[in-house]
Amino acid sequence: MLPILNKDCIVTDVSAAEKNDIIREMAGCLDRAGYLSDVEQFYQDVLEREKVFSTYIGYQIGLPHGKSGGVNEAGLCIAKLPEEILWDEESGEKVSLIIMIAVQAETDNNLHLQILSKLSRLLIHDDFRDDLRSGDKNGIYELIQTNLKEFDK
Amino acid sequence: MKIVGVTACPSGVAHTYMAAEALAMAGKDEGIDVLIETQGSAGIENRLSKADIDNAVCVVLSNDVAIREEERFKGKKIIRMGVSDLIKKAKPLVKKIKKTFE
Repeated sequence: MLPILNKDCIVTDVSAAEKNDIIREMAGCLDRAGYLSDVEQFYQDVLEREKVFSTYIGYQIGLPHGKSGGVNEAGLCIAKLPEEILWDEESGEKVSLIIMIAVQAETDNNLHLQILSKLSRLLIHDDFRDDLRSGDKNGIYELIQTNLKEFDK
Repeated sequence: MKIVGVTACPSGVAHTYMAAEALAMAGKDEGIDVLIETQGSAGIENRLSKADIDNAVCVVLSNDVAIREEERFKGKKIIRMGVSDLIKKAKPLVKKIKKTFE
């Protein structure tokens, strides 16, 4: 089983200027780290979910996610953008931090789902978000490791 | 004062739990018991008891996807909101409920 976060999936030098390009880039990142079996399907599933309603969660954070047949193992990709980009055309909401979640379409792996629900809950807390925003690659990695330590086996 | 609620979202992976946490935090800030059942990919968690429901002044339900076993809340005052709005507006919502039922 892969760890939920691979350091290579924390990116701070994304160049894409548009939402879909960034989603594609982040999906590519998850793919290279072995989390996906079909990157194109995952990408489409993330866009489909985004169509239901935007995954903007406030605080300039986007949380795109796909529960997809293109996912091999559950994983995260975190991107910090040098400049904010438009996330929701309707509301004009912009993001500068993106956390992408990949989960298998059919999974009975409750551990993964519990990790992701813990992470989602953490995002509501100001101090966690502040640490996420101020951290560099290593800082973010340590932050996630520390906060999800309880799930280590 | 006690508020209960149920959150759910299309994938059941993230928003369900964020909304639950945002409501619980808002309750903490306002000094109110807020109990939220989550209906996500991991199934029903923190299931509300009949006593919890009976003692609550109102029920908050997300309205993006169907809530399972909604008949439990028959006769209660129900507030429905999108799960995204629950995340963003949990604080003012809980404040308003507090003011209304005080």
